[in-house]
Amino acid sequence: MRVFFALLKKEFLQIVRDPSSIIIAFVLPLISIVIYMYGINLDAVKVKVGIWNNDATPQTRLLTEMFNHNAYVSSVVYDSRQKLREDLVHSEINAALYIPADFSEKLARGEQAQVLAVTDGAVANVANYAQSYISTIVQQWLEVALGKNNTAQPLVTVTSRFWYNETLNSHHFILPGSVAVTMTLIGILLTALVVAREWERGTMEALLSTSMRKSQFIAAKYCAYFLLGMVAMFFNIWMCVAIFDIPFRGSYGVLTFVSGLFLLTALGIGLLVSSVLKNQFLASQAAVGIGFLPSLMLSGLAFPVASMPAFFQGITMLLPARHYVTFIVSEFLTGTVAEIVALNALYLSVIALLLGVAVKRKTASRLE
Amino acid sequence: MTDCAVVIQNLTKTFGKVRALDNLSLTFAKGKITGLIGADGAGKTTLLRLICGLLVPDSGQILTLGENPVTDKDMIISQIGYMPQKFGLYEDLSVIENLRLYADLKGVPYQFDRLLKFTDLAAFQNRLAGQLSGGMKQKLGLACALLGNPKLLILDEPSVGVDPISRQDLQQMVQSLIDEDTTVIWSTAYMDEAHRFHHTVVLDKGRLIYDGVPQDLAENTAAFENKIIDLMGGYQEHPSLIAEHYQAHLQDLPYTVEACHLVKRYGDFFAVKDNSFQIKKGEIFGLLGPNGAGKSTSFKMMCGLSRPTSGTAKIMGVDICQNPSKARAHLGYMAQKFSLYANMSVWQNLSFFAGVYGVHPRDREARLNEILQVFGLLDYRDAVADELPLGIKQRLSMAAALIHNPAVLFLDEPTSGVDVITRRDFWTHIRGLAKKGVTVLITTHFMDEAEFCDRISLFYKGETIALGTPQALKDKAESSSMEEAFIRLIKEREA
Repeated sequence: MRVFFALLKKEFLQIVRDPSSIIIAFVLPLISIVIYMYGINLDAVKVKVGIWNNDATPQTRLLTEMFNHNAYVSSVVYDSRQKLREDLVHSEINAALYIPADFSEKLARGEQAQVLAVTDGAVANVANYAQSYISTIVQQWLEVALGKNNTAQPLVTVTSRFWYNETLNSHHFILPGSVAVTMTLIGILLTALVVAREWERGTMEALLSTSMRKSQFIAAKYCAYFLLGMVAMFFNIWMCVAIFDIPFRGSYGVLTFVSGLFLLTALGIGLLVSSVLKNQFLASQAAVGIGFLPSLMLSGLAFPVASMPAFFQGITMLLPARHYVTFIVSEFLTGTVAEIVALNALYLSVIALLLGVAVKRKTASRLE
Repeated sequence: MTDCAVVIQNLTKTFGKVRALDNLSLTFAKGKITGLIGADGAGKTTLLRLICGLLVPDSGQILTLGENPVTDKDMIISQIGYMPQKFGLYEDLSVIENLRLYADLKGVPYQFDRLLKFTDLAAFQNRLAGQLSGGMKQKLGLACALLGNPKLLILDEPSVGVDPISRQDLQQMVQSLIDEDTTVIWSTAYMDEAHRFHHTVVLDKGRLIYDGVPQDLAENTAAFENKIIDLMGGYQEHPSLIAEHYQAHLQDLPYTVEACHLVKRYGDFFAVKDNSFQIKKGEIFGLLGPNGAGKSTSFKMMCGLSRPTSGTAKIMGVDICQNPSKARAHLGYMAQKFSLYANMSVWQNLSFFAGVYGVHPRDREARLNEILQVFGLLDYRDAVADELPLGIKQRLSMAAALIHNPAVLFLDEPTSGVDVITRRDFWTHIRGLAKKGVTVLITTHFMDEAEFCDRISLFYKGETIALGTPQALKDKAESSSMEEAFIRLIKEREA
């Protein structure tokens, strides 16, 4: 026990004296949460629609008016068809709506009248939004403009409500999810350097020539950085809840427990990389490459796992961040759901345990 | 064999294709200090690590304190004090924290009074190890190794880059702090040190070439060194090819290198107080002094790497502060640490430095081929710098410094950690170049090298305390050897 506490004390002294680990633990989450909060937005986008109206009647004027009374659309009416085309080509507007000369006439005769909506497909998701906004507004206009003539009630009406995130505010899941990505990075970065540093500075050789056991060495590393990592984790969650007002409906006890398991996996990856590579530069590069990037792209935070090909879905099962994202988003927005907690906690424990065993096997008890 | 601390039989250890130890059989007598000598890559460090159980042999047997270090490492490790080459200190922990850590790891009580007294570290207990001078780090490393009164003390080149005073202290420390039956294995590149030990073991290419009492080889250090060189295959004094190929276009100046009242101050602390000297063309000028005396700081100011607080230096009459790039064009600089690109090949490194020093692209190919041949680097043309033996690395650094035929050569501890034969060879080239008119400014901790200098400046606490020929300095200190003179002059100053 004396050896373990001596090593633990050494780790803490090194953390305190080396500002880089403090910066990683506290400045990194601050920067990343600000980026996720203000830089990333998956909500409905405001699109700009240009309208060329060749059929100046009260009815079409109402239609163009309605484009101005929508929260997600801003519209400009063009006099010149040429200019409209140019602006669409130069991405000044996201979509163009052409109303042909015989539009009202056809409508009055009861024939099918057509408008043309051209969208800028180069930015596919904005084009999607534009297309659906335009159809919706045209539908609404139809109800209003023809409502008086057409008194029949629609047979089916859909009332939609969004559970767990009533306003569909994407930050409510991005921010908790971002904790997973940030903590992966922090956990891995904190430990990726520490074993490699012992090798580079020659202290590993001195440690190995004492009666220290490697389990004591590993346990001291895990403990020291686990405590630092948990503080960083709480700091992160505190920023979500207290500063950015993300609703938290779950239990802090459960959150702490599962977050702890998740942190162990991240620390394990870092220690493994560090013990295998024995070089600080390589280890930090590898930490970003194998830790941070996959958890950013494959955790389901940025891109839904369900829409990935089966092969990649399989890979995500190995990623601690994927299970943690599932858990933390549900814990924040829905509250504690026993099955989700149990399943993800189980996955995380298994991964953490496997990594721990790998770290132990890869930690040298000799110089070769 | 109860009187042997370590018994080695038919020991072989290979790393890839390299045979580090080749069927070695050897014993280390109990209660004796044995000096372990050998060229770079002779297998000294490998042997020491095998004895501690840090490596596993390919074949053969080791008995360390009667146990097998491969299977029973845990049993013997508590009785071994091992000081690795890099000392194994935590630089971000203080002196006392390092001692406490190692005391905990070894399970011994916190009794440091005696160690702190002998190491003179009592006043620096709370200083971070990273901020200690080389000599102090070495003493702290030894103190950590001595915790728990080990039966076997293993020191791997503890005195690399350490000044003569600290080396003397270290030896006294070891002698007074160990018990009578403690065995010491001490690997070293200093022949004077090895000559003072009870026993000498010389390794060459993983084989034992001498095992006996140093006095049996020779009575004095200089003769001992020659005998050792003979054992290692001898060194043939030959004219330096490097010097022969040196193309001089030297101007005639009264002084080629001048230091004019150089001062470097950090806050209240004067690293260099008021340093002035002039060096003539073709002179070898040695800068000597203990660690932390300000030699490297002077050096850095003189080649324009650090800005003097006041004063300046002139290289070939050009002021380094006013016209640094023009002054540096006359200068070849070899830094203390290997400062070439470790992951580039020999050719790539040289080609890079040729470019940096402004060798015309048209002439570069021819110049590089000539350099490779002259420096004996043809076989290593495409080898990665990091994987070269130390002696070859050092030759490569020198090649890089000489690529543009500079008129002045600055060498900052160029032979630190280098074996005797390589050092001999190195000095052949230095003397050859000086004869051709190259001015050489050199720092060293080897006192035998100091004797090769034309003039010496003894530097202490930022000031020159003696300046003159080696003989003049010895006369001044009334000493027979340079080492004695060094220690006496500094102690006098201190008193």
